[in-house]
Amino acid sequence: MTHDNHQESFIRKYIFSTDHKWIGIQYGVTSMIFLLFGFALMIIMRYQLAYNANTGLEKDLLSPDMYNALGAMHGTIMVFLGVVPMIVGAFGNYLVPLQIGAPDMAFPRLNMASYWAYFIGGVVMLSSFFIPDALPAHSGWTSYVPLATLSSGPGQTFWLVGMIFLITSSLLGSTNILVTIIQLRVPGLTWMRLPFFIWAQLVTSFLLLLAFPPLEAAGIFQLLDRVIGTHFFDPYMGGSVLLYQHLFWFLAHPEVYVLILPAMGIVAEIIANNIRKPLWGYKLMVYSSIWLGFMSFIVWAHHMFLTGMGTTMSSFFMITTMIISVPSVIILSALLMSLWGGSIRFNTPMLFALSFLPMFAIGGLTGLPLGLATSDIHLHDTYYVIGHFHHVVAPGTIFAIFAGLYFWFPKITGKAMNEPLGKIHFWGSLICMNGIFLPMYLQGLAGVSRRLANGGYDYAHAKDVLYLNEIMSISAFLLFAFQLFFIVNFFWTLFRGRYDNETDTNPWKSTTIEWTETSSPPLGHGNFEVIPNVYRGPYEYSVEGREEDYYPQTEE
Amino acid sequence: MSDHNVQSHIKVYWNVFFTLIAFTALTVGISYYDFGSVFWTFFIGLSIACIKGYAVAGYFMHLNDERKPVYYILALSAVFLFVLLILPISWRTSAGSHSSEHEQYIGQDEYVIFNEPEHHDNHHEDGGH
Amino acid sequence: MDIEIPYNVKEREDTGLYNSKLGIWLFLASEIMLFGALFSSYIILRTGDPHWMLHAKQAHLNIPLGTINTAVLILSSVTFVMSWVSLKLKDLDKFKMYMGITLLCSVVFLVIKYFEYSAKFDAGHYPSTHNFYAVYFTMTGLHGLHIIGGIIVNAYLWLPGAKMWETDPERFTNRIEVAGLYWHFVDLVWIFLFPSIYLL
Repeated sequence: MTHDNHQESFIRKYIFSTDHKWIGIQYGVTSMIFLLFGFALMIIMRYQLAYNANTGLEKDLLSPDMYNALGAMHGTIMVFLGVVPMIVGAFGNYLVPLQIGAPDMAFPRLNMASYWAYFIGGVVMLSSFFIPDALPAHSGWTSYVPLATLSSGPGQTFWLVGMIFLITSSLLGSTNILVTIIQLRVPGLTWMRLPFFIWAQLVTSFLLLLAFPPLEAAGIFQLLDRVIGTHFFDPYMGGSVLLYQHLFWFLAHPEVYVLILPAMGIVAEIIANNIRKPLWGYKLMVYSSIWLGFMSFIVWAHHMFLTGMGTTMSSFFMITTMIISVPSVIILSALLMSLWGGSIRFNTPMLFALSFLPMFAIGGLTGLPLGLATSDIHLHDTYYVIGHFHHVVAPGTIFAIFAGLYFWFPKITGKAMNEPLGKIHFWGSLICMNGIFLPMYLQGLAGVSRRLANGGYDYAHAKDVLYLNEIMSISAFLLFAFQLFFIVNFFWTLFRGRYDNETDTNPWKSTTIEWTETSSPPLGHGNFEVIPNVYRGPYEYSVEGREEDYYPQTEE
Repeated sequence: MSDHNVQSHIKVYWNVFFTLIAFTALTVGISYYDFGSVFWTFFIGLSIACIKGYAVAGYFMHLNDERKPVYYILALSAVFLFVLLILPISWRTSAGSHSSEHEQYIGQDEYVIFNEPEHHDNHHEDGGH
Repeated sequence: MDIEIPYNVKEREDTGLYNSKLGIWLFLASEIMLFGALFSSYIILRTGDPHWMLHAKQAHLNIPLGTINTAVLILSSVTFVMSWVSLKLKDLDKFKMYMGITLLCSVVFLVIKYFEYSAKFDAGHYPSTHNFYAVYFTMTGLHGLHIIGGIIVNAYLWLPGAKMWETDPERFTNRIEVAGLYWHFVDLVWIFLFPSIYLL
């Protein structure tokens, strides 16, 4: 492939780039900053929960409204500005074309537009912290009406406007990923030869495409209620409060599968590579992820069991919720069973990927009493819920993110991160994550509600579990400290790092196209010197009769 | 599509146009007719809309000659659209579903009762304002 | 700077589609969900409010104007198809004529909408007056925003964008086909919106 060697301006090359690799890096860097910021908000909150006027301080650090603002923004930032842009925008954009042999995404300019829509949405959300004499949105990341409609100050309006930009970004991005995967696979790369990561991104993009619009409608209704005084959600004027919840959760439930599927994709790639044998049950995993994606659209009201739905609707959603646990267990089990008989390498990415399995298992299992309407009556809106969903996303998805960052760092930069630092980062994070979230189940079972600005000190039923607040907060502070090992490692490797075998573009000895057919980093213009052809499946490790223990997809 | 094919389709497009105009007139015309029941009014009105919609989708949007991937995507959307539209029906017909919401509704000067008396009694204490 | 993306113009064999056609159908799928959510909310709000028909009748929505708008939009749909047909038959002048009519119809639609909206405001009926108006203004308003979006794209393709006909006619024809799919969808939404709000 010949290219003109005209010099691109700095702006065209680094700001308004249409190269999926650079856009992936833009998404990655931006989302990492948001993840850190969202984490910092929680650190402040956890300080208040452990040390407030009830525990001996002169006065609370945060007023209840301030606490709620931090809480609402923590959730919003982590989900919409941190995790999803990282696993879909960064990992998806960077890796999808490379893993399928494409020169770029199907619509490079649309890709650029989707990043900048995300960026603007992020700026709008962040700017809500700087409104004079007013707080950012403080009605939960869920923005339930009537609280959100009536909330004081423009913070909530900023939230709604920010969400519109983020939803737009998501829409453009998911369309791009879908067309890319469907249309740009190289010859020989049939559906059942795709890396599981690609299948995960495919299903995820369908979820984003079809589930976000109802939230867009809900956001528009709420915006109009706030700004021009309509009564969509006002029961005194014929509106419906619960309409908002149905529209919100219609998105927000598929959204949690958006949070977990790409993570499973990342984990699958890393486990396959580090067991030096094929994944067990690849086809089963593929069909399960499709089934999971489909079912995710018909379980949403399990978030609404306490709204007086009536037994027919509750039963329906409870049954679908129980059914949806099956495909997720299948995927997890397949990954677990793949380990049997494997030649396991315990490098940093593999440690994070392996720990995903029990962490997601805990998160998933604790979801069951929430999905059963009867037990949910006791557990709804308690700390049990917070423990459940954090276990899946924090030592779940975020560990998958770290696994992916350590794993693909050599491909993206041509340098390898430091292993000892990585292992310290891993063990410290694993222990601290559980130190934060395991006690939450105990508090929730005791009946401690979520979103309490001082951690439950006003409630008699919380008395026996209050001591856990300090334990959780200290775990959180330590978790923050352990991230320094990652941050230092990241920048040190980037700027001073040793070149880990400059000519070795496949240090992990992987079979997939992004490792075997590209330089590290891949070529700026079109990724591949020669368009590869694919001859076999993605996980041909330890094939009999071969000298090497891996058989690349593209080798003839 | 080859040129010859396109030529023969021109007539089809104009026929569809006139059909759509005719059906529009029909919709407006029969909207003044009383069908007796709400069900039949909606059924007929929306059926005509569906016929018009099919004409636009099938002929103008070439859906009649489209490829499988497009059909799959639309089938998937149709399923989820169905879920979205089933929601209001099951909400309004499911026994006790979100019933407390109805109780909260108060018109400007009147308190509208549209639940059975026994439910009404249960909620009356917090219903009135 | 343009990397050559495969199947931008030529169809991929196994799917039978070129990239932007698949892309626009995916986008339309999400639009189906958006308008579906709006219709679903309309049903919920309407069936939950015993005062609805009172306000609906008082509103006196202008059925003649709404009918004219329906016809105008249907006309714009057929002229859009004809503009695509003209390109397939390699007639740029006919394309310009038909696309011009399409744009004219779109503007007429918006003008009529403007008259409808001002009449409502003059009568003191605002979105905040009652949910009937909230639904009316929001759904027709969002639909109107989609019309405006279409006008912008179509106007671009009519004038500056048409330069692509000289360098890459097949790709330009595909662009018109794809833009047409969007436009027909907007017409389709109105076909359901008009009876649901004005007549039923």
